[in-house]
Amino acid sequence: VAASAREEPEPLPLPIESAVQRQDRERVQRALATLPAEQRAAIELSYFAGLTQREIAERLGDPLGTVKTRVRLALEKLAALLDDEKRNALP
Amino acid sequence: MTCAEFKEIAALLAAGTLDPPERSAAEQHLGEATHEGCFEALRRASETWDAVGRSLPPVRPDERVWQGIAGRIEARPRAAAVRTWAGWAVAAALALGLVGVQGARIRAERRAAERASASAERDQCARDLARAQGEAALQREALALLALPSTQVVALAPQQAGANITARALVNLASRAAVLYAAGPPAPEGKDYELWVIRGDKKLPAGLLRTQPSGAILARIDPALLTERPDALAVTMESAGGAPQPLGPIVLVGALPHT
Repeated sequence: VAASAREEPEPLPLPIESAVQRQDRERVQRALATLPAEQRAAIELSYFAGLTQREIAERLGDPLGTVKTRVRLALEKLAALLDDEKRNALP
Repeated sequence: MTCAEFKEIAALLAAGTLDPPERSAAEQHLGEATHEGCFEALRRASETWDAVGRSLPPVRPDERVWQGIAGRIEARPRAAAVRTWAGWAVAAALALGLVGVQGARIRAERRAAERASASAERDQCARDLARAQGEAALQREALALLALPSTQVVALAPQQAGANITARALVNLASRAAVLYAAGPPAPEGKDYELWVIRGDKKLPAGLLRTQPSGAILARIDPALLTERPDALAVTMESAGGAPQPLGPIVLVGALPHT
């Protein structure tokens, strides 16, 4: 069946944020991007998807202890990276 | 639980993602008299999670969400008018000497009606907010998926002439997560859009596409359907409630590129 002319999906609502908020967001995104993929996945599934550690373990097929360790290490690394960025940003 | 054990899970406690028994044990530990850095670990974890939340751009709730809430708030003066009228009725009854038991009964009935009305309002607001929160969670999940380099964006092409619904799916097979979002009118009365995960000749039902409070059509694909790589995603129009196998016309199809 031939596809008809496609319409673009409507974008999500436009965000409103100040320059300071945008800088802050970009700073955190940079820090998140430096995490190893498996640590970042654990953080994202935990925070953004709201999954429990057990659900994350089931989804990723990893042992529960591994998931706990990944979240802890990821958060520690993230905190250290954000501290570094904050220190470097100071005049 | 020891302080060392607590600090291992402080990040999960701060995120609210501990399973209930472990959360209880952690909270019980916090009630103990002496600690070795437990509160500091919890505070630092909370601050870092807050920072993770700031990685997302703010999203303005659709106006219809607030209009719905405002509409119900504006409905309150009518209830007040009823109360005022009831007040006059009580005053008149008093003037006629119908005091005592009858007046108390009227006031009790009025209070019961007010309580029932307020309770219904609260329940409705709670339902609206829960739906809005559900949508916001899905949007956050979609944005998080979009930020992952390994996420594939799959455009689903309309399969019928004149079809005015479009959709894209964000698929991350590594984390077994996928969200589909579509734009277009809701399914006609008595019909539902149903999503399918296609693998070989298997067509696995992946749920109905529901219109969210903002009007967007969003759906999370069950991770269990992503344990093996799907070949394609499809949307059909089925009778209300959906079907275990696709019976209705195919509306959208998108193939997952093999990378």
